Amino acid sequence: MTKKNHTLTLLLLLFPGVGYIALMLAAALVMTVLQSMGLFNFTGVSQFGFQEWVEVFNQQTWDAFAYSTKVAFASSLMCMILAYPLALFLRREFLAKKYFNAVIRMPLFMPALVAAFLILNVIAYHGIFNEFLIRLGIIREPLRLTHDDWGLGVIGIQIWKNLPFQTLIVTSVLASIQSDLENAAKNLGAGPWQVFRDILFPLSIPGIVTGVVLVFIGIFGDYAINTVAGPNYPPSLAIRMYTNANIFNDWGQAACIAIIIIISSMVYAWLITRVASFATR
Amino acid sequence: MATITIKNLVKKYGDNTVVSNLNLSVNDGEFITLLGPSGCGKTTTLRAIAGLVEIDDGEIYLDDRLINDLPPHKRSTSMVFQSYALFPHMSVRDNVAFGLRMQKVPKSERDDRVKEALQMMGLAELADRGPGQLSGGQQQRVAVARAIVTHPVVLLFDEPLSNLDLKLRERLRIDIRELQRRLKITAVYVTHDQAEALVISDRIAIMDKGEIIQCADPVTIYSHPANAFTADFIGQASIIKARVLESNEYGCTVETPIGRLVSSDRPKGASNSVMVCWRPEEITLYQEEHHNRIEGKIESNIFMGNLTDLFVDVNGTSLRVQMGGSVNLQPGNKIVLGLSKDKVRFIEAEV
Amino acid sequence: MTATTRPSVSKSPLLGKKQFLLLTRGTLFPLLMLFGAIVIIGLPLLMAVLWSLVDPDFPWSYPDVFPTQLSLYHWNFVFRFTGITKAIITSYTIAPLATIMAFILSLPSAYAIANYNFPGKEIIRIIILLPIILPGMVVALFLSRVFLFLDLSQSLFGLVLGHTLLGLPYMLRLLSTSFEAIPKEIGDAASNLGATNFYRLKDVFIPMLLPGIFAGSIFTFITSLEEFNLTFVIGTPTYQTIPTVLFAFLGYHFVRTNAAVVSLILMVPNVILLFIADRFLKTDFLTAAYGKL
Repeated sequence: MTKKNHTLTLLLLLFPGVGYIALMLAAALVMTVLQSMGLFNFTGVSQFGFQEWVEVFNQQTWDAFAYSTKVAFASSLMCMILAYPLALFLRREFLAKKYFNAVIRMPLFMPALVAAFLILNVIAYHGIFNEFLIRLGIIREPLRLTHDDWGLGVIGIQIWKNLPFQTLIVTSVLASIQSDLENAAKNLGAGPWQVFRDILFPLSIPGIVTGVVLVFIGIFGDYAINTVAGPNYPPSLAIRMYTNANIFNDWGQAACIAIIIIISSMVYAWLITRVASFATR
Repeated sequence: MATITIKNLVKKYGDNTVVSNLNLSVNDGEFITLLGPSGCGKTTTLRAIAGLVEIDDGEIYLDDRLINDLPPHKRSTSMVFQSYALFPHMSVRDNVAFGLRMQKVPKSERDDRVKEALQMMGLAELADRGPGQLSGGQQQRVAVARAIVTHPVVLLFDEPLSNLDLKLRERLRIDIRELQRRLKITAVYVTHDQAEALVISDRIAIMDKGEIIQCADPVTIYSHPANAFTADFIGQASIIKARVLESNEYGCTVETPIGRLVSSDRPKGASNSVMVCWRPEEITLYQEEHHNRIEGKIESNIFMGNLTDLFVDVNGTSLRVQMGGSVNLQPGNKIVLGLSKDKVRFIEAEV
Repeated sequence: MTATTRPSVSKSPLLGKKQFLLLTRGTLFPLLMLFGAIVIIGLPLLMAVLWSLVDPDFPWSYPDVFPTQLSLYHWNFVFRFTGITKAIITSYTIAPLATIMAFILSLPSAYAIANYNFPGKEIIRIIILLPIILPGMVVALFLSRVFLFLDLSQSLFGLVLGHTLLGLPYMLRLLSTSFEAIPKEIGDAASNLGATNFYRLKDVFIPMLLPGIFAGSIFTFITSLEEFNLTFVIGTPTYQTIPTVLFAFLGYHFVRTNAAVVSLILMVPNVILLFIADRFLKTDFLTAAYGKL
């Protein structure tokens, strides 16, 4: 057939799926930006200007921001520190590997709220974890692990919830590294630690980075788990956003915080990727 | 049953011109092979006939009908694909019936025709199997059955045998030819295997870099290659640069690195710098009636079972000589070769 | 100190060093890991199950390790006196609707992505992933404003639209991967044999896509069942889904026993569904959905 212009067909085909996403997200984004500029104030006066932005940069916003960053950083770091060795362990064949795999994948299928509850239950003030420690004589009084100022409960939940996902990613990235590379290194005299440090680790970083970024952003912007197990103050950024919107009805502020969350996420994503490529060198 | 006419076909992929100004006429009921190395544009040309590639310029006619804008599913140009492309989720029977279903042929007629096609290709017992349960040769036959059952006007073959081993290839290519003769369907066959092309074609179109270099029946192509490319691609050829010394209506004498040669052919162009060629099996041990006498020394003797390849050093040029059976000559031995003048042909240099 | 000779391993009645290592490496260590995994993963689950079965007349508290008496009281209670039944119906209504819609919307786009090369394809891939990458509450909150503006707030239709948005990334990625796996010659052969685009899709592509469709549907379905942020903002209080009910029990009104029951309700179908998926599909789908970005 003589060559036709396919652009129209292409656009029509792409529209339902991709167009749907693009449209809805664009609408939400536009709404956010406009509200941060003072418009679409369904209660009160709509006035275009930067007043919302001037207001939003205050102590509470900063505290929430610092808290969210801290929790995200601690959780993803700890998660990766646990996931990587686990993935390395899973490379070999061992007794009952099938069952181990099945058990370890359980939290993958779990909604955030359920994970939150399950762990909350265990680490609660009167929960089994504290009782266990007291019984063993390690501590005398139960530890406050939920709704604590440091966010330990949240961090614990996030690690538990994200560990299977991280492990899965690291496992599949490691599997995609040709075994011949390892064999060549061993052949040239590299011991297990060196094989890891010079071959596996550097080659695995590009594949892992995306997973780390995803987990980080997810924890940074979390609402539900922080509501359920986080400290009363400071709240996570997302909680602060929500509170402003639905409790104070201050959508302008909420919009600003939303934009702060999005931009921070992008900056963090970029930062993490940079650190990763720095580490690969 | 139709004629195919291709005029000035052009196909580009980006900056790469894969087919350039190709012209071809295929007669009704003819079996024509497009032969050439990888990348020469033969498969692209085939797919253009089927409507599976969009062409940049040119016209394609089936009989007198311009089919440029006819979508592939409306052309009656069934194709047998290199990978067979059997539908993995359908049985052999359903695969073969697919085309008839698309033509909305009523069920009873469809069943009869499918049965007939399966029988013709020797697939009756395999009718309910899935493609995954068949051998390569069986899959290939299903692909052929599927293509012919729709009674197409043109049959297209895209290197259908290249995934099979030698013995199977040799047998199946003859089967395909017999089938085509019986059904009298016009066929266009693409391959890079020159032996295959010689065996099955009515005509061969040799292609290189998107153009048809020579199009003729197998004997002509073999014995009168138009240029060095064709000479070298089909069979083997010894190709030597030469300088014309004398030329008249009876023939020509040339000076070459291996000595003076006489030929009953005449150079194509006006230039004095030419190229001559002959086939390795046409040069042999010197006998009286040979018009050309060449002396040389054996470089190597390679026994290949039914023939022997001898490489002979003549004044620094290495000549290939093929003889039947085994030859009791060792490297270092002297040898005298003979070449008759009608085997020395003039060809055009490669473009 | 004089050097002492090591006792001969083969004659020693106890385990030799090599055998000891083998035993620990080969048996003890993996079993320890398995035990550890079961405790870390299984214990919280066990706790939840136990809490859901506590008898109200025998409250479970320190120093009992296990509740003294089990009963189905709380299960009964939750089903009778909370809005859980309605929430279950709502959840299981939205999920299939969102899945079907996601499939219909994804099919043409997945086809386009797999079969055409065009500038900006990478950007499109990123757009597709945005609903998963962007923080859930942010999207939920401001989409709800848009919905408010469009009068879709507090409506089932709005919820389905929102859930579809969140399921599309999975459906699109899985479908386009599946399309890409179909050899081009198969589509060509179908056209060559007379199939119009419609029949090609119906009789050749879709049957070959079924595993991908299955996987995509499972992911979308589960994502919808588990979805909290969007439903919370757009749906409540008119519509409750299982996650929003759970959230209610986890917030100010923390009722441990009710939360336990609802957690289990929320979790069990998911686990079963994903178990099926894991069994009958290749793990490529798991990585295609989540990773390899």
